[in-house]
This record gives sequence, structure tokens and C-alpha cells, in this order.
Amino acid sequence: MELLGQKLSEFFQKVPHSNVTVERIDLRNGFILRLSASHVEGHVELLRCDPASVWSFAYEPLRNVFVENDTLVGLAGFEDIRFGQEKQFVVSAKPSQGSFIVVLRGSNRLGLLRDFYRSLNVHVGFRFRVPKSLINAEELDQKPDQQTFVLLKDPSENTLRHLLKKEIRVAVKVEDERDLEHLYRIGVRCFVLKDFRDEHRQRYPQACFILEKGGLATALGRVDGLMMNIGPLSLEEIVLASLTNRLLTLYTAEKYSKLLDVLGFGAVGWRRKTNFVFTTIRQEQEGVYEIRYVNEFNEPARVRVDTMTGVTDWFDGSKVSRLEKKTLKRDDGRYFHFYTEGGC
Amino acid sequence: MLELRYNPLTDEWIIVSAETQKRPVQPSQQSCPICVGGVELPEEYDLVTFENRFPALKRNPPEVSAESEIFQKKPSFGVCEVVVYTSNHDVALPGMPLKQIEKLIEMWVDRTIELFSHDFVEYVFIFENRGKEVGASLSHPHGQIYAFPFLPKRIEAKIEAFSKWHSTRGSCPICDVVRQEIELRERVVFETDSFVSLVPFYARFPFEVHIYPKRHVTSLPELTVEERKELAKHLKIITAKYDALYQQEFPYMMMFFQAPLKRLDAELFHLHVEFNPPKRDRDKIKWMASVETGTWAFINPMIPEQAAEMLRRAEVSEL
Repeated sequence: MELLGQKLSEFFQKVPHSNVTVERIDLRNGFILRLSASHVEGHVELLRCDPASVWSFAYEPLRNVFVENDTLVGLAGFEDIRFGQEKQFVVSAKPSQGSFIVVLRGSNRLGLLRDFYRSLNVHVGFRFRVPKSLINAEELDQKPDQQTFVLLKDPSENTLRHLLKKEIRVAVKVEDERDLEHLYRIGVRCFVLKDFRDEHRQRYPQACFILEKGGLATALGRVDGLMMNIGPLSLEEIVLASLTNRLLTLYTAEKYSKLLDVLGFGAVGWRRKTNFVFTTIRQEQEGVYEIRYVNEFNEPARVRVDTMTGVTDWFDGSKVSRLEKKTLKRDDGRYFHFYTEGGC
Repeated sequence: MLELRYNPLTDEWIIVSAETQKRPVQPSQQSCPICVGGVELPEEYDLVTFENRFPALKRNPPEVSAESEIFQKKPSFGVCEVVVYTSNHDVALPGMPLKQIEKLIEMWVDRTIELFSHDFVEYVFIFENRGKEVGASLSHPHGQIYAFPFLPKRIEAKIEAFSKWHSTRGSCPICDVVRQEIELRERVVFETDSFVSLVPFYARFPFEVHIYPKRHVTSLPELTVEERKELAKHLKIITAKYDALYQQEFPYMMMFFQAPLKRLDAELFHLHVEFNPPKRDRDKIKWMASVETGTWAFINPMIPEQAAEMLRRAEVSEL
């Protein structure tokens, strides 16, 4: 595997790169390279490898990690990532304001993947706003919870102002900068867009941006969410892709699936009815994962997913007597939660 | 004024909140704002949690003026809740029925899940200040929850320590400590199937007690129903032993340390409860003075093994 035109092993010996100026952050089991946009004109060849010897996601939008033997190379925050696939697998992209290549060594694939996202989280400090669900306006039957955004297509300004006045969190698909600027000014804070530019962050500091189309290598570190068609993904790709969900919510318009909810995927177009949180993923054996979460009854639960056979076994906690909650909003806007014995 | 200010000397965020200055100080039972009929809770209740009237953090904080490169500010997003354990003004954790403490734990579980689900929340901190020695402003049994928009410095230090231990030994420090302490027994105060309460080898306060789940769990919601019941028993026993120690209402800071669940290294964290009582004797206080506040280095005037022995001997009535 070649990284920025050099053998990967040379980077472990701190060899500076001749063509691209990079800032290097050393980690316990690898390093992070930060590529600065000011030093780079156009596309840069990032990675060149033999497809036969490298594991990566089969689905192109997920292709931001490459593993050969005990080494992982992960990409985040690049603009316009391109793949060439002839005798060699070539990845090129244009660095943006925060573009990172993470190189890690470790023994298992799940551990390496987790370390890759952890490194971005801890050492690069990726922090995002995370609207959990996007429901369509026509499905709005009651005031949505605080995590849900109501997704509107071509709303009239009156509709928008009306919903915002009712404190409903609104998300709007935008096509151009003029719409974005106007909608932000009247109070919209969540935007679904095809073209994101780094300067949007400075111009609209309170906004959350969801990229309508793109790949993880582009979206990570730049936007807050990514729309994803998970139809072509294998079950293992779905499980592994969910590791990104603490850095960037992956939105899918697939119909309700408990597994997607447990894995923390953002929903588009349906109301999230459950409250699954705290997912941890452990690999039991090759292709078999155990996912731990807290179920809708606030009890610890788990699901075992065999990605080879597609079999999922659910192990829910026992249903015992629990507390009932009644929430009141006082005149001064404060929430009061009253708990009494009862429930199912 | 309500805002977060960045301290570049320590790389931490400070909460500036003029609101908290307005809090009442030790009102009498007649004017207790959280008794049934009080200004906050006119209706009947069993357990209740509500947003503080004088919050340090708010769901909808005021916008802050543009920050300069040196003096950085952020809006004070977050939630500060008051958690009322019971409608009975005159009973504290040691005297509360076990069933009520079990319900309290269920409520903490629900609050943890709900508060962590806010997009602006990075950390949920459950705590109780008991007694005027640690600044409790109401005597009615209650605790608080702060849902922070950032990872507080000591939590960051803890997760880094867990990570360092894991990378060098491949294990969890609390799992290792629990195994060793149960074997040695000299610092153990109370033990059940799933939990151990002990004065830690590394205690910072004279009668500091930690409650550790024996199983590696990151947060309250991960505890099973049976484990939650056992935790209730430990909370009751330890606080009762404190009161029995000098036959007085023993002041303490009780703090729940759960994993920063939005981080990818959250699973390295091991849930634990810390009791930090400020007293070092019947009438003497161990103050958080210059050394402790300025350097985070603690001088403990009590040998932890002795403190554990005293707490073991402090007799409490059957549950």
C-alpha cells in the first residue's frame, strides 16, 4: 500500500512527504496526518494499493477505510473523492479545511475500525450536532420530540414561520446559497444539501448540515449527517458502518427496522418510536457481532447478528413493574417529570 | 448572564451563571419549595425531577456575543435538574425505604437516557450534596443532575486513565481493583453478589467510599433489574453507616460517574459511585484548600484501611 506516493512503512519512520505539506499527530498505535488545503492545488493521489490484498467496503460511499494485513488507512474530510480501479486501486481527492488520513496498526478489523473513529473523535475533536430523525411534514400528527426535525420540501415562508413559531424544529432541502442564507435568517437550523462548502460553517454557525449524496470520506469531519441508501449494503457493512454514528449520523429512508434503530442510524420519513441508545458492538467471531443496547423499557438488551447467515437473535430484558412518567411544562417553560409506580 | 468561557490555561470551559446567585439558602420546612404545596411542587408526587429555576445550563440559552480569538465564548446549552427523592421532607437516603431508593435508581436510569439523547449534551452527571458543609441549599432530600455540553475536565482525566490502563494492560482498572480488593478484604465495607463498597486504596477524602459494580458496565441503564436493586441496598447501607459513624447527619458529596456515552471509547469506562464526605472527625472538616484546589493533589489525613475498619464497625439496622 502506498500513501501519498510513498511506501506506508516509511511513514511509520516519520519520513516527511516531499509533495504535500502535512502535519503529523503521533498516536500510540499509529499517526494522523492533517493535510492543509492552503498547500494543495487540485486533486492529490492519496492511496494506491492492490485491490486483492486490501480489505475495504464493497459499497463505494462507505469506502473510507482500507486494511492490509495489520494496518488500517482511514480517510476523513476530503472534497470530491475519486477512485480509480484498474491494475491498482487509486484513491485521489482534494483536501478541504480539515482533511485527515489516519494510519493505525492493530490485530483485528473491528478494533482497528473503532480505533479509527475514536482517533478522529479524541485527537481531532470532531463534534457535531446530531438531529436523530427527520420526519416528513405530512406525517406530523403531534408535536415531535426534541430530537426530531420535520423535513419540508419547498415550504412556503408562511408555513415555515408558523412551524418555527410553534418551536417545531424544521429541516429544509436547499438547492442554492441564496435560499440557505434566507432560511437561516428566519430561524431554520437544519439543512439537507447536495453541495457543502467549508465556509458554510463560519457563515451559519448554529446550523446543522446533512449531505444529500456523497461518501464517508467526504462527509466525516465536514457535515453533521449523510443520507445513505443502505439497500446495496451487506449486513456486515451495515453493522460496521454504524460505528461512524457517534461522529456522523447516517440517514436512511429504509422502512422501519429495529436493527437500524439499535445501530443508531438516523431515520428519514418515519417517526422514531423507540428510544434505543448506548450501542456497543463486540465481535464474537468472524462475521458474528453482538450489539448491546438499552431497550424501550430502559432495560439492557442485546442482539446477536450473524452476518454470514443473516440470522439475528434478540435477547431482551425481562418485563417487570416499572415507573410511569408524566411530563408537564410549566408556564415559565421548565419541564417537570413526575414518576410513579406502575407501567407494564 | 449565562455563558461558557474558555480557559486556555487549563483547556477547559467555565460556566458563568449569574442565575445561580439567586438560589435560596436553607429555607425552613414551612417554606420548603419542593415539599408538596411548595412553590415548585404544588401537586402531590412520589418522585419528581424538574429543571432548576436557577440553572447554570439551559436547553435554550441566550446567544453569546461574537467571540474573539483569545476570549472564546459559547452558549450555555445543557440541562440542570433538581431530583426530589420523596415527598417526605424529613427522611434522607439512610432512612428511606429500600423500595423508594430502587424507584429513584429507575428514575436516574430514565434521566440518563433522556438527557444523553439531546444533541447538545456530552455528559450526564448525577450527584447529591448533603449538608450545609458541602453547600446544600435545601434540606429536603434531593439531588441534582447536570447535563453538560462538554466533557468536564475530571471526566476527561478518568476516561484517559481508563484508556491508558487498557492500552498497557488490556483490562479495565476498576475490574482489576475489584478483583484485588475482594481478595484482600481490608478496605471492603460492604459486599453483595454484584457490587462492592470500599474505601479505595487511593482515597482522597478521609471517609471516601466508592461503590463498584463487579461486572463491567458503563452506565446505569446497563444494569439489570437485580443489579439496580443491589445498588439501592449499597446506597442505603453506606449512607446509614456514615450517619452511624459519629451519630450525626453526616455530610457528603455523592457522585455517579457514568461513561461519556457519545464517545467511541465509552465502553472502556466502568460505572462507579463516589462518596466524598468532607468530615475527618466528629467536628472537623477536611477542607478543599489551596493544594487540593490548585493542584488537584490531595492530602488524606486518614489511612484508608482504618477508615474502612471504622465504617465496617459502624452498625446499621437491618434492611
